Amino acid sequence: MSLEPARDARRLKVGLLIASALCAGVLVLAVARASQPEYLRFQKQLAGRIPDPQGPIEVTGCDGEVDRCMSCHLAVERAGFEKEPLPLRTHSISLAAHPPKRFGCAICHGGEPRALDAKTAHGADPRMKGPHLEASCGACHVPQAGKGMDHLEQGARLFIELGCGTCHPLSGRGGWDFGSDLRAIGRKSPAYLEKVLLDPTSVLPGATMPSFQGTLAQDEQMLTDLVVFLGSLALPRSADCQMRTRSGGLVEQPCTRCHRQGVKEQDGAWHRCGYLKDRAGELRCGNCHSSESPIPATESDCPNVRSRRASCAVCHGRAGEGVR
Amino acid sequence: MSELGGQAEESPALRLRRSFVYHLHPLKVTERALRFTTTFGLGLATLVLFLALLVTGVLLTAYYVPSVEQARASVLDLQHVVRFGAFVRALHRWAAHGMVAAIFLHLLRVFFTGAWARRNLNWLIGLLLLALTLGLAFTGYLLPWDQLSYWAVRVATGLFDQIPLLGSVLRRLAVGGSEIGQAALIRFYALHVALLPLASVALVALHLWRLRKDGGLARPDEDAPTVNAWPHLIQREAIWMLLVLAAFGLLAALVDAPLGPAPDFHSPSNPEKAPWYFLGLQELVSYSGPMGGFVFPLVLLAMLLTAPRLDDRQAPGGVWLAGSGARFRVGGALAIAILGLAGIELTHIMMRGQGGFGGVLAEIFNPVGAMLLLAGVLGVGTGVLSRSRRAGLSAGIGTLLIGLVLATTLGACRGPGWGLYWPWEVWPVVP
Repeated sequence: MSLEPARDARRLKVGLLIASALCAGVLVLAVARASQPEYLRFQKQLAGRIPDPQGPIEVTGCDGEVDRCMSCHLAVERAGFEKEPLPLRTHSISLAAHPPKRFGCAICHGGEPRALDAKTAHGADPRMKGPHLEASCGACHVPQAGKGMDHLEQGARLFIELGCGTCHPLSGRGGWDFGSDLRAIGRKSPAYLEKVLLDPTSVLPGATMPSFQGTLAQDEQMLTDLVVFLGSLALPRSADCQMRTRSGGLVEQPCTRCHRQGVKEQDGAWHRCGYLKDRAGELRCGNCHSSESPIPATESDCPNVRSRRASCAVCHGRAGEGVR
Repeated sequence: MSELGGQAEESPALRLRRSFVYHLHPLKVTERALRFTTTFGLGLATLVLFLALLVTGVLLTAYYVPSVEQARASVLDLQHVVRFGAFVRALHRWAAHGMVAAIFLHLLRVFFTGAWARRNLNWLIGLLLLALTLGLAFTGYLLPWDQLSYWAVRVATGLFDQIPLLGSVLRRLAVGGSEIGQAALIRFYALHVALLPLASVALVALHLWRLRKDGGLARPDEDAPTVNAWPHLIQREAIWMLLVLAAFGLLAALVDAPLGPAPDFHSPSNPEKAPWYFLGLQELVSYSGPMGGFVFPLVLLAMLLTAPRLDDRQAPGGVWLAGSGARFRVGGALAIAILGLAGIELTHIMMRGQGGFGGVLAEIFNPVGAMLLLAGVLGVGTGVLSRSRRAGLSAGIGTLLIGLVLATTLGACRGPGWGLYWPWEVWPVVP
């Protein structure tokens, strides 16, 4: 086969033209995609009903995290949008105590607040909506019934009633040395936590942890509540993480990150250890130890008590009289 | 102006062509060089992707912050509020994967056509460029600082530990300490944006210059019909480069580069995998640390480096599988290699958890040892039968390369607990 130079040169010119056109087409496509961010659609829908937003809306939360959620969730703080579809709806509960301009949204809802597309921003964060959202309350507040955190409150109660803290330390406090510290357990997914509670050895082969199937499987609500409380442990913005305040540059008490000076205990800001300290009397050896239990039933049989290693009594005194 | 004479009247395009483009190729090239199937355009694809990576990389440095606190946030900002940031990042990411794939395929093409024969220096430069490309891809992998990148780099730098004596020193040198943190990030960043690209640019120039000096593409016959390089070769190359760019541009415009959650330094995902181009090594390490992580790569590297010196220089360069005399034997050997390697892997998968040797014996009698043995037998056998060292090298090294590809495929199918899962299978919930 031999090449006809003139014919080949013509074909190459056409080829160059097509290839260049393809490149140009790709560039046009890229430009078109970049000029149509998702939030613009929502901003256009509300045009005229809210002040013209023009571009991404950005706040910096009290934790210093940049939050762009309100680029799409345009009406969270506005009355009169209660009937609109998401994301244009008014926030379902009053935001007066937690103005998004100071807190941002992700401090409660989690997710990826810098992102501007729903898929990335919402991610798979269980706190985005539903009962697991209440895990976020626990990062700052004492769990209290009737304050919009019933799941969390019930979960905290279950944590104590089931004796989780008897084996598991929290940030190094309490527990036995064979239970892993639960200070960071909130990072695990609810699905994983449920699986561990119902059938520990299926995911942690050789675990000494007993199955809580008997207690928790009868009542799905109980399981969810406990997982909500576990999910609240060591959230990134929990009270035991100290951060610099943006204004002064000094390391201050974490409470003042969210609560302006002058607003104190009535806001319900708390120290998590304080919660367990107040309820310590409810942690009883009998939560784990019973006549059926393989764990030694009486104190004198218990090697952990004899060797004065971690047990209920180490923290709470032999008669449960108090915390060391 | 006057002393430039006639040149002043040339259009800028013509001047560029005369002063630069015409120097890349001789004025006349063979018709064989025009055929796509001669090279599959793999070297050129590598080059154009490298150029795209340089341009997009420079743009990315304008926004990326190499600090553990801000790296991921800066990538998120780039992705979401910088106009065209997502496109530039996606193009950089996909072109990087494409370049690693293209350069490896380029290596396979050059190797199996014997184009390295009598071209020792350029073959070495090419291998160095492969190493630099892997280094660039690997250092870039860490920069987004998400769960995937952090743990992949931790796993991959852990492979250093398989190197006797020097392993931990090398790892500390790469990582800047015992843990992957700010020191590692800034080292990887400096390597990624300065040292490795500079070295690559210099070596690419050298590679192309040597190619020209060595007489262009390796070819068996000297008196083939020739045509003018312009426009027949050079415009073909331009079309191919534009097509590659368009393909990767389209991919970048349609598919964003992923960014995972922030790294959790205490709990790796399960399974935790190295980047795909090191996945083959990770798979081999899972059979045996020292054999898979040290002996196998060392043997492969040593064979690749010394191939041009071991060659008997009988067969011409530029023909597939060591030329007509040995083609059937080499092809047959490689077919046996594929069956044999698959057999080794299958045996290993079936035998897993059924006892076997322990201790030192286990480090020798394992799939990696069997692969090396198979490569040796096939290489020597083919070489002796064909009376051609080229044929032996092609069969032996070819077996190792196929083994690596096979291991990479298996590694891609690994799931929780390093178990094997079909790509469509759903993984069980694990810690």
